Amino acid sequence: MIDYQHVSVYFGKFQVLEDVHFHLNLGDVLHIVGPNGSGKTTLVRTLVGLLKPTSGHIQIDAKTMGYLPQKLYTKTNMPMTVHEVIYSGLTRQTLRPCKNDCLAIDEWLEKMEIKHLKHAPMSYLSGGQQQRVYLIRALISKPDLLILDEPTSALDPSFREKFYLFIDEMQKENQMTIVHVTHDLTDAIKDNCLVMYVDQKIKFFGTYQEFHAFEHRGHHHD
Amino acid sequence: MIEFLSYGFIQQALIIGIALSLSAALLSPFLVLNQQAMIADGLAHVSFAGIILGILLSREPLWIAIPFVMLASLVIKYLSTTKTINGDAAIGLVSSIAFAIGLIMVKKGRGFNISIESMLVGNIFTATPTEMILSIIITVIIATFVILFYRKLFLMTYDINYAKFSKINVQLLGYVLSGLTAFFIVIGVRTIGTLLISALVVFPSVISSQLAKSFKNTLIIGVISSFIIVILGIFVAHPLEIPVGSTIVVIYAFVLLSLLITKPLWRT
Repeated sequence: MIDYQHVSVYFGKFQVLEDVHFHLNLGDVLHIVGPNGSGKTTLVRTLVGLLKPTSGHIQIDAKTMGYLPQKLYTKTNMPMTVHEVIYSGLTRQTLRPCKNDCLAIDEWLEKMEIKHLKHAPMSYLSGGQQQRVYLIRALISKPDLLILDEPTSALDPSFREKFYLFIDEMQKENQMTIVHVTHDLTDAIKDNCLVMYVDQKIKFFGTYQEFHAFEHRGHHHD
Repeated sequence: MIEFLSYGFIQQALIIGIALSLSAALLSPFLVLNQQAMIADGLAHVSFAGIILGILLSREPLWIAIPFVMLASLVIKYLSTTKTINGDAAIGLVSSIAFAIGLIMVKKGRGFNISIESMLVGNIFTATPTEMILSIIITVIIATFVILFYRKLFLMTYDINYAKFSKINVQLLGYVLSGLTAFFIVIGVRTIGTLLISALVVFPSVISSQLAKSFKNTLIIGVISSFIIVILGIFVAHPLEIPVGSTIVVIYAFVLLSLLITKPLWRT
């Protein structure tokens, strides 16, 4: 699914990523952790095609990709409704949305518990509600590769748990490949997932059980 | 009233007015809500130089002015993509350089007998048939462009990164958008005036976003309100013998002010 080959990224003289190399198969779930400024978001930006690596090669075999950015650069005071924003996530869009797409949007709003906000302007929504809308935008096109950059940072704890259960369910149903950047692994960990610890370089890559042992060896001080 | 409408120059002014108000209102949300409101103003200054160059070199100044301003719009767009120059600085640079050169050309150009005032204020009643035809053409092009690329333009306006992620060619669409704005501005400068043409681009979205909750309605309300206000402007300005451009801007301002003042009363 993803072949990330010897990628390095420089911003001027600063090296943000150094020779990062990994491979993901269809249906893999990868959690990326690391301290602030370790290059996690840069790695994600290269994956979604917003940033070209200085060297190395990235190959992605996904039909459709979903992406939830960490910092939402959107202009939230712009007049636009929840429905309009979600619709903009679909691969095929027409001037007049077709009935099936509208039904799909309704279903998603229901699942995310924000059905009543369908025609509300985005500016009326709280941060957490907006985050759910952007999440639906990422999922609406049924992606086979989903990239989440700290998706739960604005969600309240009760919904956060629900969110991960829900992603897990979707992943199992559709054999979705997921790359998930996070600060907090506790809610996100499910069976058979992979963990990458990145700090400019890959310091660790393996299963969660192995990562646990790695953490206990005290990687923070090496 | 019927008699008033039977004059050829009034009919022509109405057609140009309607065409320009529609073009401007269709472009408006994609520029204003994307922090590019000033591009219209900048390009109006460039048009000033473009039209003077056109008058000096040709019998049909627009044939020179239109490509000249479209080129300038591409330069502005290009400069604003470079890392060291901001979008608003790029507009400031290109428009002031062009305006300066325009003023020098007026002073030194031989046989230049058009007053600068008429260029700054414009006159919709003395427009030529060529200008009328061009204004219809640009309206058709802009309407087609906006309808065909509405969804992409919307995504680009509110979230450029997601638009790039969705494989939308944001560079190309951005260039086409500024090129079309430039075309519209040149025609508008001759009729509405250098100083006021940008109002036609800025007001529609500012007014409609007071009323609309969705992007679609912002666009639609903008188009309808501009259409009414521009026609009203022409009807009010002619008998009072005041400039049409100024009248339109004053009506726009009046509408906006009324909306802002009464907003607490009708806003739910």
